[in-house]
Amino acid sequence: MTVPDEELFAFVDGELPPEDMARIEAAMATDPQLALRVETQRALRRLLSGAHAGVLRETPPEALSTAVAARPPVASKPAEVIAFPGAKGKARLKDKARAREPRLPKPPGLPGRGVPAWIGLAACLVVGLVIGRLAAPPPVTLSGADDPAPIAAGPLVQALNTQGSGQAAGPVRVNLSFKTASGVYCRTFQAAGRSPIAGVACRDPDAWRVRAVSPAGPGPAGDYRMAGSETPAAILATVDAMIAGPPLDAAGEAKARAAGWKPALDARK
Amino acid sequence: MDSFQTQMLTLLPRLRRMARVLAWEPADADDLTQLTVERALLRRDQWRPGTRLDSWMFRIMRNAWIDEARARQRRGRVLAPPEAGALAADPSAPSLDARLEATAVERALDALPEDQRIAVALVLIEGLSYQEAADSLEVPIGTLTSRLARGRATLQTALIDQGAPP
Repeated sequence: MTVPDEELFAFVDGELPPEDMARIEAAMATDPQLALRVETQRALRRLLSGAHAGVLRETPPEALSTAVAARPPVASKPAEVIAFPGAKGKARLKDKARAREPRLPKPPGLPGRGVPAWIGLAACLVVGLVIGRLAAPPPVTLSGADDPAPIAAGPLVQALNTQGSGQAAGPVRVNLSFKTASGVYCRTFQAAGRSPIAGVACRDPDAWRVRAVSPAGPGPAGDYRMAGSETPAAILATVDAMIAGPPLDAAGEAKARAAGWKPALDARK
Repeated sequence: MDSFQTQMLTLLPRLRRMARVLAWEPADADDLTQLTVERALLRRDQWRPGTRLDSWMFRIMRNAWIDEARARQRRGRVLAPPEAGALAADPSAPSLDARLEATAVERALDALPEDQRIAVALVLIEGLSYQEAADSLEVPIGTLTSRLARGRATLQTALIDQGAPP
């Protein structure tokens, strides 16, 4: 039997469908020429696996390990996200966030950290975001634990409904779409403005509700934080706590959008 | 460190190996690795949790390499532009040591055109699937497999048909 080179390579690389893998495996038993070609390619793979392999056994230079660890995780302090009721895995998130807090020495002479000043700021922003420009009239206050999560409206709801991930149009950019364990669709977003914020919203039966927000962009006290398209780590941690399976790809997103972001039935069983 | 950074730390040895495939000189390779780590930390929001961190970082590394090495000869010149003082190696020191110590496999690999070399490294050394390697290189899968096939043919001639010792 004739096996073209590229098919033979794919066989050696384990890239053929199972039936073709089996077909070639069987043919090798009766075709010494084919068996030799396969063995040659396997030998080449073995040789290559030794290339620059010494570096794998070395301890990486300290400069590199330091580079990995150097920058404190962006927005990793527990308080830097406002999680609204209904953010699944909220307790977990808190533990996680605390565990991630960098152990940096506290600079002397700074006032003790009670409630960070930005919380008030963020609350205003949320009110501004949710109640003003981007959301419906207040079903919400920010003082009590029983408040429902704010309902998205205006440009935010429009972006959540129609924008593909990674597209920016208008003041809101949607970064990532995913499904929770109960099949509800959620999306992370960023709203531009003088004090940009990032958050995650989920499509509840009645509306998109904002589950968590966090400041994005330059932080207080010269905190290093990327402007632009970076999603704060606190929001990513919220996503980590809520997500079930991989994030939606473009096709999955298109499908969800076509279905009006109604909960995916297959995931609800 | 958070889990993203811990994963990155675990990947460091493999990142350094891939950097050797690209940059050859150990010092340049570690500079490239460092640049990759820094870029990855800056762009961590672009990594989708649940996808492979290694192929994502290989893509960053390859792009960093292209950025840094563009318009420069691959060997005999420094990796970094002069203004990046901290990254620059001594330009007057073309290190022969690394070449003398290199194995036949490493020399044969290094002799491949760069696009074939990276394809071979991602699939045959790093064990990425065709799809993952194509994604890392931002090329269609057919382009990846044809680079891989050409690279293999050359390596087979150099290393096996002529009976060179490994």
